[in-house]
Amino acid sequence: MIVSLASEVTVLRARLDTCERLLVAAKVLAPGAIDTFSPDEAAQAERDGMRQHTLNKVFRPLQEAALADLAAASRPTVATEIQV
Amino acid sequence: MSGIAESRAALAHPMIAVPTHDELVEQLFVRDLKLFVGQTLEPAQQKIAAQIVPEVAASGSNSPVDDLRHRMQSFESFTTWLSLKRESQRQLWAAVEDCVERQADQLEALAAVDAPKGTVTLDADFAAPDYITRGDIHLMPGGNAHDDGSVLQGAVMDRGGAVYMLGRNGGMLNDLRGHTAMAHLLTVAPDIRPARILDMGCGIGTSTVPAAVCFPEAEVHGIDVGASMLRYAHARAEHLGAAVHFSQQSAERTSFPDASFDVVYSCVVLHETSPEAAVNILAESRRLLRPGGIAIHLEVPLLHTLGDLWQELSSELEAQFNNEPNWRGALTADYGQLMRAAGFADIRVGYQATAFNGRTAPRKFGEASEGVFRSWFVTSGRA
Repeated sequence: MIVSLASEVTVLRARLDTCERLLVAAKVLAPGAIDTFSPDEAAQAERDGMRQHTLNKVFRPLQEAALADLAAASRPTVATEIQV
Repeated sequence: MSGIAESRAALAHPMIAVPTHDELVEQLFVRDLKLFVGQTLEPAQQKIAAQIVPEVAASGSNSPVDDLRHRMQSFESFTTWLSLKRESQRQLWAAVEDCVERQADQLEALAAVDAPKGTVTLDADFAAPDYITRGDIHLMPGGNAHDDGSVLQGAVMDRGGAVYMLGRNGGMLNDLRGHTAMAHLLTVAPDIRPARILDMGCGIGTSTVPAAVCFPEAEVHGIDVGASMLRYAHARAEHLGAAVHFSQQSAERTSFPDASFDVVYSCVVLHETSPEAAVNILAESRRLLRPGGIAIHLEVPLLHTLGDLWQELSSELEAQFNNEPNWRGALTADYGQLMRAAGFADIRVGYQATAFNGRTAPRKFGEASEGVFRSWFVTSGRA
């Protein structure tokens, strides 16, 4: 799974690099325009949101597993019933 | 030229490594991942622990924290959370190292300061103590004493510290602890005009520069075990306009003569040493003071969490998974007793409100913690 994902990200990165080079060659972008790009406050907030969204989506199963363990731990056991 | 969200000109000091577009996004990702681990995944573990703590209490264990940990380990999400905690910290350094190495030549050129106000004195024969070399503190690859003759390990620590602290300790300057120590000094001695000040375990000088800022007429010294960190500390202080004399020494036993400082302080150093070294450092801070001089030792403000089993376990895990060699020792010590044993008078033990500027901050010191990052644990005493 991770190998396929790494392969896919590598392809995506190469394609993005191709786009950047073609845009520079076509004089749409100045050389280094992306590396020196500084988003304004609104754009930064949107990008923060995008990053948060990705993170929550990718790692959601970990949070769900933790909540499932919590539900299991919260179930009364025979031992605790006896104590009560 | 301006970079994303920050440029060298806009930064708090020019020595800090400036990330490219991709490097900054990666660092922000690591920061957010660490927040996810700490603020989304950890609370679920805390709730699981709350269900288990009554079982631990009923078992009458002599070691309830170990007992809780053993029981928590039966939950897969507990071990997954710990793995991710460790991995997010490793990713942090990987992201920072790439960024620093790319601009190695530029940083070396910046570090070559003409007509410096301060100095840096290195000792080629210096052997770092075991607690520094045994494991890489905070998982920083190579550790605090690593030295390849450059400023790069210091640059890694600086950039990493800014990301690690997630902006809670003074942003790119990372200097709130130093200012808080100075605020404490001015709380207990409002009219003090120290001639000589020493920062023990100064690292890259984040807590040392505030002493020079608050007391511009004082001669300020900083000592640490890492040559690369000290070279960087010197360059960083010069770029901030602070005259500081850095030297490579152990805080347990320095080369300074008896009674040679008016103020000796340390910031979050004791929990990176050992119980024995902490006692030695307190004694050394006493030896170096002139009569009436003041020693201040600032530590993480978590001592108040002792007694809460989950907080104790969480603390242990932070120490073990992030290589903090004396976490338990520093957080369970009886500082009043240790300071008395070191020969101090007018001993204070409590919490100093976090200061942005030690000189102008409210002089607020009390027995209760105001919480993590809002106040710091401080013990102080007079010679």
